Amino acid sequence: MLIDLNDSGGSIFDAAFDACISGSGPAGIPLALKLAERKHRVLLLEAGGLTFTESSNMVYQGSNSGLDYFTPSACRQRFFGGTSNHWGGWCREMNATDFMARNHVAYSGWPISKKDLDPYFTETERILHVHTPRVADYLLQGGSDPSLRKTAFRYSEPPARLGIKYRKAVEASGKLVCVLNANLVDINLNENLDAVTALQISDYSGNRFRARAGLYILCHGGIENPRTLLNANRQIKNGIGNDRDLVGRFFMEHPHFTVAFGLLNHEHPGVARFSHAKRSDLRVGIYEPVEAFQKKAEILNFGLRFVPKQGMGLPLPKVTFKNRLKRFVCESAKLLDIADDINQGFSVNCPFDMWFKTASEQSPDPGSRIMLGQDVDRFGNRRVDVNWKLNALDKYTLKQSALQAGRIMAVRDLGRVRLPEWLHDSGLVFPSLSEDEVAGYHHMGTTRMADSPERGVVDKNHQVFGIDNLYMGGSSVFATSGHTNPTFTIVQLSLRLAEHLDTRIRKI
Amino acid sequence: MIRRREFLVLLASLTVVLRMARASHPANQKAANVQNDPRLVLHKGWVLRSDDLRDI
Repeated sequence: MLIDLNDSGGSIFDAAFDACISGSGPAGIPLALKLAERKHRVLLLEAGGLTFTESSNMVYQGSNSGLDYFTPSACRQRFFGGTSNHWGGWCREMNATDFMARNHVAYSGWPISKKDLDPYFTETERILHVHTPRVADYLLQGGSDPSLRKTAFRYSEPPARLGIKYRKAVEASGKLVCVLNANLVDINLNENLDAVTALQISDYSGNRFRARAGLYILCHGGIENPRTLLNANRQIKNGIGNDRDLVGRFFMEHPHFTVAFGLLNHEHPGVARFSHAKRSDLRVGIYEPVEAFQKKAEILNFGLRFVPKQGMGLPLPKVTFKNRLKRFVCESAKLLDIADDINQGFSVNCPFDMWFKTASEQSPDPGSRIMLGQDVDRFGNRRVDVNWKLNALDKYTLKQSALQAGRIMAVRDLGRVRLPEWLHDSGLVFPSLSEDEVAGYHHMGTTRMADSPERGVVDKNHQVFGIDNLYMGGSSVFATSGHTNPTFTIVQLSLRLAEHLDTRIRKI
Repeated sequence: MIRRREFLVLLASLTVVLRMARASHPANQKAANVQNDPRLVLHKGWVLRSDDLRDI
């Protein structure tokens, strides 16, 4: 059933539910449908309507006090389907080693392994409608390398908008009630402060309601999940689940930076064969560091993206590669302004043939965090302040990705690459949003999963430490991020969480 | 008069022949025969082979 709080009033909140899920994005919808499929009574709350509205999205406004980052209201979607509404469709499961503790990465290691998520792989593929494209192996040309290996993303094409895809299933469900325009504004705890008794809900006219269920699951995303817990400070001063000041810390993104510009050696047959490719064939080829190299070089995981210029090699340069290289090396400083075109996404005047972009894992760092700002939203809750920080390991990893790309290009004589100035700078200098892609709207780690409350906010089953019936869904529970776009893992985690909640509800 | 279908087949054949000729050209053979482990240098931000510097 799908109802709008603006039209229906709050009578629905008189009903009894087994589980109340707040947030109808890639975490919330699969979880709600799976629990309803198991015959449990599920209340799904969505703060927005069926489509984008300014009044809803304004609640996401906030500030940035760290590195240059997106406006908090621009990198999230606050209506039915959540952030799947602007998702790019990139799908890939995380590597097994992404879940493991690594000596050179502080705070690394999940309390679960990849094997715990593997049983949900096929169903996640179905939910996200995943396709496998053919991507040319531009860099390794089918060969092997001691440091890098080719990997591949798959794609949801067109990207699955879960609100659209599952609207009919939600409407038709006899066990699931989805309430639109229902804003979670506070969380009520019992006298012992160890269990949730109700969620306080508000409509856009300021009418307040209480939603009650046996279990509560917040699926608000990696920025809003900690904000919700921190703002729930009426009964606990520091916010719910925040006894050890960990809520909101370890905020991770996937740093997305252009780490090298390249000239291709069109005289090399391995390059020449791509010169005749159609534009549509020139998909991004992706390479990641092999585990042994990560360990030896003491770096994070990354996805190095070989991005060919559109229409690469058409027409072929009329001068020899060496002459062209000489001109570029000698004149490279003068070409910087032109190279800026690349950063803006325009390749028309780009003198280079291709560039390498790296979407890297970010190291878990307690200093990178989501905090509460001073301003308040229309419901009286403090707005978010995003204090995103990258550290020396993050920058070292980005530089290593560029150097490895350059090494392979030169050794195999496929071309040569040039690293941008900021990557040579030993300080924590990074391009701004006006200069590069910077990040990927991937908000992770802010209610991290851990095996003890000293190291995280939720346990291996997503339950908030110390709160018996409160769970967190989505990428806020990521302990580390790998380099993989998070949506696929978010859905896998939600399906696993549904199994756990199903078992728990049956025991109650 | 040559038919459209025959023309396309002829064109495709010619393309294959030209591509094979291009790949077997000595310059391309030389480019493919790269050294296994050339010494690399960082020069003006570029990752170059040391023999590149002779030409630059």
